[in-house]
Parts: sequence; C-alpha cells; structure tokens
Amino acid sequence: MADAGPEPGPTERPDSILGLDCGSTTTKAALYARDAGGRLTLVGRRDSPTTVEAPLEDVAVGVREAVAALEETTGWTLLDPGGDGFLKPQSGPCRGVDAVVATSSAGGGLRVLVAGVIRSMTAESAERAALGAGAIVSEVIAIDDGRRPHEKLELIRQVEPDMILLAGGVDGGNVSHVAHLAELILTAGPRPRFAGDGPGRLPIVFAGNRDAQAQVREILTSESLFSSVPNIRPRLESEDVLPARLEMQDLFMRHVMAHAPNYRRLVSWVETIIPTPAAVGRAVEMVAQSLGDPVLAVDIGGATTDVFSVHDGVLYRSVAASVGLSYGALNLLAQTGAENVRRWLVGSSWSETRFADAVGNKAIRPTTLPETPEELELEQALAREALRLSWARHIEIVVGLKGVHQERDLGNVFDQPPTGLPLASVRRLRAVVGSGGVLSHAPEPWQVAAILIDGLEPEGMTRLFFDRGFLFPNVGAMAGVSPETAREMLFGQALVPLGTVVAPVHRGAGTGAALGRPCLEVAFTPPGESTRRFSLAWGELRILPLPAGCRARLEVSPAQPGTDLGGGPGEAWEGMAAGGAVGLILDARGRPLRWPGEELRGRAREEVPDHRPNPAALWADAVRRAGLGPAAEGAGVP
Amino acid sequence: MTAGGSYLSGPNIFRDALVEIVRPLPFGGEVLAREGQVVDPDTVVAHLNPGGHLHFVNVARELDVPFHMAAGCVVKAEGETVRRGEVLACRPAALGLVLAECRSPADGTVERIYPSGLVTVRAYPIPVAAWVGGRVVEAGAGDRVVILTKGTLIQGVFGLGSEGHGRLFPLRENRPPPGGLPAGRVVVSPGPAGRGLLDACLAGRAAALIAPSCHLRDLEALGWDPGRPDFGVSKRKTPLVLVLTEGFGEQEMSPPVYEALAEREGLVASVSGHTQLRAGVLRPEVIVPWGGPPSSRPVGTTPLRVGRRTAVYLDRTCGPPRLQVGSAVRVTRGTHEGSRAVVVELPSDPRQVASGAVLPVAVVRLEDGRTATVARANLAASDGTGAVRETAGSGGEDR
Repeated sequence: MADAGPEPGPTERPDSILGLDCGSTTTKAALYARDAGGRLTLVGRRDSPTTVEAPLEDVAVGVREAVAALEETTGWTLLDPGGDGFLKPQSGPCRGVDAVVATSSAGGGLRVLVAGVIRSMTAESAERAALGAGAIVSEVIAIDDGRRPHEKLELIRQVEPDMILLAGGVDGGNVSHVAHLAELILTAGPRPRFAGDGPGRLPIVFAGNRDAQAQVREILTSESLFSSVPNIRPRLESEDVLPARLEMQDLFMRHVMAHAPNYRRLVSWVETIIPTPAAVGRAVEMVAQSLGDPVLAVDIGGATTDVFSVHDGVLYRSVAASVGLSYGALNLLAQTGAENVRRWLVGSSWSETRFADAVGNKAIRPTTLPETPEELELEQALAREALRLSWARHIEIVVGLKGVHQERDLGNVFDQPPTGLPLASVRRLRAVVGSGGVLSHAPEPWQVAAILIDGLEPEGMTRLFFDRGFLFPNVGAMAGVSPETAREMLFGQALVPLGTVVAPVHRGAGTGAALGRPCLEVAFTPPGESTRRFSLAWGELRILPLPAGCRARLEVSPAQPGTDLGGGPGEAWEGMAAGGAVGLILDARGRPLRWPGEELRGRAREEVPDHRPNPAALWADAVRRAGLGPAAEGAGVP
Repeated sequence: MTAGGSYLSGPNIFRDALVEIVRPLPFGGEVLAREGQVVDPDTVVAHLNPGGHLHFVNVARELDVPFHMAAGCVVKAEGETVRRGEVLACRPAALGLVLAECRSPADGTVERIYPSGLVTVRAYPIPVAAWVGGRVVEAGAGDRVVILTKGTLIQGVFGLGSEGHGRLFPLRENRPPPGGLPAGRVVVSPGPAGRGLLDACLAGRAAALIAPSCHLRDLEALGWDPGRPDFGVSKRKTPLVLVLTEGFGEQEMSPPVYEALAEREGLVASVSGHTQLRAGVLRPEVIVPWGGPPSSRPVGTTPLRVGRRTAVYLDRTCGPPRLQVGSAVRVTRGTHEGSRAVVVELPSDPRQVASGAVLPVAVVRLEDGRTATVARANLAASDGTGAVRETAGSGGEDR
C-alpha cells in the first residue's frame, strides 16, 4: 500500500480557528470550526474595545475581553484558565482551538516614513511598497520635493514613524543622492513611536541602488536597526516591491509590535500576526485569483479608508489617511464638505449645527455606534463620501511606471502615450468587495450595495460582494499558515455575494441620457421561471431579487447607440448573471450621479427639462418594489 | 455578556489624588530642576535643545544674488541676536524702489556668516515650564522631568489650545456674570458654552474655559480647523484653552465634575487642551493641586497611567470600572444622548435597536425612572473611570 504521507498537523488543516483583529477602535474575535461534514463554518464573532491606550495600555486585555465574550456566545472554552493564552490544540468538542491567527492596526497601525530620490519615481515606488505592506505612509520625502533641508529635518523629527523605507537610484546609477538622504535621516535622529519617553532604535529598510548600499549602511547602522533588500526600482522600466514589502511586514512583527503595549504577550499566543491591511490585501488577491481581475476592494475604517485593486495579477493599495468614519470623520467632513454629505440624507432632517455636532461627537467618541435611523443614515452618507475620496486617491497611486524610457519609431512619434497613466478604473470591473464596520453593521444587505454603488459608481456589469463579519483579516492571516484553509474561510464564510449591478453609461454629447429617455431593453429569466421583458429608462433604479447561488439568464440591449454596458457604445450583453443577498441591480441613474438642478446650473442651453430626483432617494422605491426589507426607517428610505 | 462585562470608557475624574505628570523633552534637553524641588506652574524645569537647532539660511538663493555678493547683503554680525522674522539680509530690488529681504527662521544668535553668504542661526533653547505646582520626583537623564502633586484631576473628552493656568472661577450658570470675567482665570461653566461665553472668555483673556459642551461650528468661528488629521497636538496658537467634558452639543456638566471644580474656587488650576485621539491618545486635563505638595512617591505602589503623560496612584483594589448591573453610566449617543442612568440588565444576546442593527445592548434606568435599551458601545462611565474616589497614598507627609 502506498504511503499516504504524514497527517496534516493542527495548523496545516485546522478543525478550529480563532481569528483576532486588533483594530484602532475595536478588537474582534471570530471562531471557525468544522461541522459534521467537514465544512469550515463561522461559529461566532464578538467585539470589544481595543485597549492599547491608557489606562490599560495592554492590547492583550482587549483580546481576552473579546474572546471571553465569544466564549459566552458560543459555549466554547477558548481561554486557558490556568495560563495566559488560549487552549491549543482543540482537545474535545467546544474546547480549545487548533490555530490562532491575528492581525493588527491598533495604535494607528504600521506608520512608515518613505524617502526616495525623485518624488515621482523611486519615492512613488517606495510609497507603493509601503502601502502594499499594510502601512500608513506618514510622509514622503524626496530630494526634489521642494522642501529645504531644515524643513525636511523638522518633518522627519515630527513624524515619529515605526520605520523608514529609503529608496533611490537605479542599480549602477547615482549614489550621492541617496547617501545624502541617509545623512539627512541621521541628522534628524528620528525616534520610533513606541519608544515612549526613552531612546529607541528605529528600523530602516534600504531598498535602493545596490551600489549605494555599503555607504548607506555605514551612515545609518550605528543609530538604527538597518536592513537592506533588493532595489525597488532596479531599472526605470521595472518595479519590484515584494522584497521591501515582506521585509517591512517582518520588521513589523519582530520590532514594531514587540514594543507596542504588551504585544509580546499577544505574539506568544498566536501562529502569526501581520498588519491588518496586509491581510486584507492577501484576501483580495485570493478573490482576484478565483474570479479574475480587475477586482476592487474597499475597507472603510474608523481612521482610514483602504482601497485595493488587482490588475494583471498585481495588487495595489492606497490609503486615504484620516478619511474614516470615527477618528477620521471630521477630516472627512472637511475634505468633502458638509453639502456633499447632507445630499445623501433623504429620510432625516438635520440642522447644520446638529449635523456638525453629531459628526464631531463620532470623532471624539469613536467607539460609539449608530442607534437611531437618523444616525445610521448619517454614517452611511459619510461612508459614501469616504469611498468617493479614497477612490480618487487610489487613481493617483495606481499608475504605470513613470520615467520609463520609451522607444519611438515613425509609427508612434506623434502618438506615444505618456508614462504614468492610471491603471485603475471603474469600467469592466469583475468584482467590487466591501469591508468595514459600517458595512458589517448595516441592518440590510441592500444598504451595503447602495453604499458601494453610490460611492464608487461602477460602470457596466459588476459583481458585488461584502465581508459581512470583517473576516478578511482572518483570511489573510490564515493564508500564511494554511492557504487551503484560508480559501475555505474566504469562499465559505467571509465573502458574501450581494448580486450584480448593471450600470449603463451614456457616451457622447447630447441629451440621450436625459431623465425618462429610453435606456435599456431587458430580458430576465430567473431559474425555473418564464422570461420577463421590460424597458428601463434613464434615471431609473430597479432591483430584481435573485438569491445567492442562483444565476439568471440576462439579455440587456441599449435602447440608444450611445449607451455603453461595458462592451462599447451600443453593444448588447447577454449571459448568466449571478445573484446574491440583494439580487440584480439595474442602475440607470447615469454616471456620474447627478443631483437635482446640477446640470441646469450654468448650462442654460439644456434643451430637455431635467427634473431628476435625488439619486439616493431612489433606493427606497426600488427596495419596496423588490419586496426587500424590512428596510429601516430613515436609512435611505424617506 | 453578563456580570464582569467589558471595560467602561470615559474620561477620568479624581477628586483627591496623587498625580504624576511627565514633562517630556522629546528631542533631548537640559534638565534645570532638581529632585525634591517644589515648583509652581511657571517654574522653568528644563530647556529643550540647549544647543539650539542650527538653521541654515542660503542668502544667495533667498535674495537671488550671485554667491560672491551674498555676504555683503547680510545686515547682522556674527554673535548678534535675532528674532524670528527679523531681517537678516537685504538688497535693493525693483530699480531700488523696494528692498528684497531675507528673514531669520528662528529666535537665536547669528553663529556664522560664510563667504558664500550661507548664514547659520543657532536657535535659543526652548523653556519647558512645570505647568503644574508640585514636587519634582524625577529630574535626570535629560529626557524628562516628573512632577508629583496632590489634588483634583479631571480629564475631558475634547480640548483646544495648549496649556494655561489660573485661579478657578466657577460660574453659577453658563453665561458670564454682569460685571464681566476677571482676566487670567480658569472659567468653569456648568452648562453648554455658547458664543456669548466663548467671546467673553476671549475678551476677558481667560486662561482657560472648562465647559461640558459647545457647538462645533462655534469653535470653527474661533479659528479652529476640524479637518486637521487626528486633531494633532495643537502647535499653532488658538486663542483660548478649552476643555469639554461631555462633547459637542448642549449637554450639561455632570454634577460631580462641577462640584469637584467648584469646591476649589480660587485655587490655581493647570489646564491642558491638547487632544489626540489615536496612536497615543491624549485627552485634555485639568489639575487643581491643593493641600500642599506631597513629600515623595508612595512606596510599593505602581501608578495607573490615565493619559500619555499622567498617572494616578490608586488603592490597589481599584481599577478601571467594568460595565455591569448597577454601573452608573452616561448615554453618549442615540435617543437618550446625554442622559445619566443606571444599568439594570445586560442581555447576553445582541438585540435589534431602532436603526435595525443588531448590537450588544444594556437595559438602563434613566433619571426619570423610565427604562431604555441602549447599545453598550454608547455607554460611558457616568462620573469617569475614577468614579470620584479617594486614592492610595493621599496621606503624604507634607500637606
């Protein structure tokens, strides 16, 4: 008989997993276990406030609180009653777990100062590497950033990063510029954030010209924890961020988290701990590997909104720092403007004063949750604006390489596109995935879909998903321990299909997309039912229920030549549309979304009266007609 | 979640506490105070950057003149003192009609003038005041000074401005008295601070204002920028040091907080409006020393950190309160926002609230006797996590 090989260990194919995420506001604990059929299921999930700040200043306390609450809910014994951590491995029904994985963004997450020679080239590449590692980029410094030396010095001192990523120079190129940056860093003498009031050595990762490595090491090694990795930009035409990204994540574990309040204790309890955004990024990559790319994912947090996209197999991440729904709420309001938030408030009436106070109180009491329909609608309005701003930020980051030498010939001498063009687009996305507390706590799935669609305005045919229980961090952390188990968690538990949105766009000038004009001819055949044919006009929003796991035959034809469903103006689409918790969403409100009176303002030559309604108000009617609900009063429902 | 629930949030209030305050020197410095020294708020305990920052001024570039001419444009001599913004160098411009000027980036001394026109200015050391009266218990290592004091400590939820101190001036209602406010006082308002009171404090040059609440838009009118990420530790001068104990809106001050301040009327209060909400939470603080400086740190007791720079010596049986049946709480959001209540039940399963969300909740009895179901996340300790309690070591030798 052939040797079957060794049995997988408890962490290689665990029967039970405890997933922890120490967020900036809350610490979450989730328990997964295999059912009788061997399928991994989510047993329970609980939150507790993160305790990295005074008076407790011990992240492990918040973790134990969250796990204790999970024990009460699930009936499992998870905490080691006689010791300091968890019961591992699982020793019986509802007793112990085989694996514990953790992620963290507590204390602000991983904060990195990026330094590069040229702002638009090596510094930008280094910024992408840091973002990909799950960091918040506190500041970017470059030789050509326009700041004077003393301003750069002052900035480096003020930032208090967790680590510095230094890049610059292609291999074999100039050495002096990046050496100068190293001298500047040495002169500034930056202190690591968790050094408290005492001295500390800051991790510095050098990812620049290999010919400069020895000189830079000599400059920095005595005053820092210095390490070097292969050049992020070995040639102008290529970018290799992975070595820098992995080194930063490793340093995060070994040094940054080791000095954060009692993280050593937490690290001793778990199989792995990585920055939360890095884990979410891994999960998004897994989604793209399964569904195909491009894929767009968003994580709306309390302090930041992260956007991930996968294009041609490459993961990109951007962070809209200080654009969030609690700590970042006031900054979000300042950036987008009160009017842009209030336009989404359909079901509630806020005075300007009360509105501003409510947003301010959310910022200064970030752990509070919306209890009334009014408060919920306000948070969901903020979420839409957070998505708008963060998407704009993402487009800036996700660009082709700049400075790439391009060969010219007679064929393209007058027609060569510039380098550094945006790669990210809302057209022809395979999928959009939403994550974050505001989505997890949304009472109704249609509200999640509404936030994603209104905030990102996807075009064409796009599948929508969301991470119902904020489980993506667990998935990403588990991927480093057992990729197969991570896939089970992702597709079995974390990724909840919402359905498919069909959003036609009018290309070209003229009034073809005016309210009420014909937009689409639709033939919809749910499984086991006859075909329903109907027309959709511009300005309409309609939901056709189609449960998760079901696919319906869909034929959509533009009613006008300028209408684009993703395949080009005038091109029809037919195929099988995937269902979800909401179903098929036909969104003919147009792109970009416009508010009443907007087009008439300053465009006196508009020929067709345009009495369009508030696009946010259309959800209520669409939900009612689809029989979805019960929709919470005031939550987008007038 | 039943008994022994999660920790309750809430700013701290200690009516009679031994408080340690750290005065850090973030870039190193020279400690001037000595251990055991009794200080008052204005005592300079250290200098930041005793060597001073060295600023480089490239006169040739600033004035757009050739290098060989730049030194001739400098109007100061080596060793001469300069103020920030003072003219260092100049040359005629616009056919002699105006002077192009180059100014000093800092207060300090002109250290060197190079032939190329590069000027180095050595900035003055920055004095660090004690800010609070007490006794220095740690004064070494060049990176911090620790001051121990005995008195009342109150932490607010949001603040503006930097540091100030002055004699406590509690108001009987949330408006200035008919005769106006005496200058330099720390004003305490029992009710929300409207524009009238804010303006009166500004006009009266109050050292600080402690109020339960105010409208966010009123603060914007004072020049505050709410869009500053994480608020940040305020570096630019805002015209008023402000501490809010409840938040934005029209909440009244919690009676125990008002009483703790009112009973110290006339005593010097040290107020810090610094607020930072993540990655090192900093809440605004009010410390009112009374009864004389303590002689030394209590032996065998580790203080509880209640802020980034503040610690309190507690009875070892005390600790941050937990949410449990009988907890005195304040509702921070929702229909009953601002109400004080007592927890009567902690259901173990999450329940649906008015918004439709399913959340862990508590059943509370409000002051008017009604019960209400409130999300646990929307409850804070009513009288602060310190619960207006006495502390260990309050029997210091010197009073």
